[in-house]
Amino acid sequence: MEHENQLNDQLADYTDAMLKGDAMLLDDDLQELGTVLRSLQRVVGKPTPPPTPFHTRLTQTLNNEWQKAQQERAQARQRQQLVWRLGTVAAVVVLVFTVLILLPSDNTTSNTGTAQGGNEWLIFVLVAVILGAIGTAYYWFQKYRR
Amino acid sequence: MKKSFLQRLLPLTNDINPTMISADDSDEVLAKYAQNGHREAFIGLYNRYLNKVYNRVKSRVPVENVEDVTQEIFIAVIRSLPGFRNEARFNTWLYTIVNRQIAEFYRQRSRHRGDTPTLSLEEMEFGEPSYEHDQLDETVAIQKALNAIPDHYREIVLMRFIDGLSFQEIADARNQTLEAVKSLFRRAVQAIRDEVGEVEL
Repeated sequence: MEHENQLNDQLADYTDAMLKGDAMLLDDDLQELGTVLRSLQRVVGKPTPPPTPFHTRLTQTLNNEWQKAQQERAQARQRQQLVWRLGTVAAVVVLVFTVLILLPSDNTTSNTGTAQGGNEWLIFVLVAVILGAIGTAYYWFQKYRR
Repeated sequence: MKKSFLQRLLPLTNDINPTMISADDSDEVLAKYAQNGHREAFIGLYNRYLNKVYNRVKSRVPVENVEDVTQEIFIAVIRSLPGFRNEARFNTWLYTIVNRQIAEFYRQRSRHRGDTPTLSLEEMEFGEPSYEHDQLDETVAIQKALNAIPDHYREIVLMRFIDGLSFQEIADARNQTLEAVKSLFRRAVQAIRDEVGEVEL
């Protein structure tokens, strides 16, 4: 284990020295890996910036791509908003119909006073629950659509 | 700009002022801004990573395809940006896209090759089980080996050689001990050696 750690350290030190341009001797056990490291240095060890014409061309291409992506996202958002608005209108219509159905009719007699009171309370709770559900749905929709 | 009642009630993440974007912002902060449509933030990330991505691609793809693959990677980043979640580091996410696009390049190349009646030796650089190692040059052999080894081996080699990070910096970035990183590095170099086989380096 100790020997393994020494080899790990030595190979790391050799890599550091090589990349700095310094010379360093390697243990016999690591000679083959030293050859690989020198090869890696020749092939990938000298990073270069991309050629200027390519950089310019790429920047232009990505600008166009960015615009396109933003437009597509905006259109998708508009579609989602349309769906949401239609859903909201449908919910409000359902709400109105529910309220109308639950409202006491004109031929209610006076001896149903207690029941009427119960209905008004129920309607209030129902409206509050539906509005709360719409508000919560709208909040989560806004939060997670991005 | 005055915010509506609803905007104050439900603050949305795209209420970020672009002038708040700073060169010191972390990758993840810039990515968040870019996700919300701020082009300047995306340009910041692009400028930060162009050289690294370009050189990573150059280390794994034939030189004549490097520019095309690099371009495809950044286009994929723009398209995938809404899916980036801040639980991951931005560079981890970006290098996943780099690996995916390089794999896609070789898949397409392989399909194209299937339609080609005759192949030159140069066209048979990668993935052919029967090619002769001795006839391939050093660059091709190293590229092939880098493509063949596991991602975590390749990543540590590229972090040292292309990103220019010290072993300590790699350890910090990967939340590993220095000893673990050095051990992983040696195993990675050994894996490359095994892949290269008999090629004269």
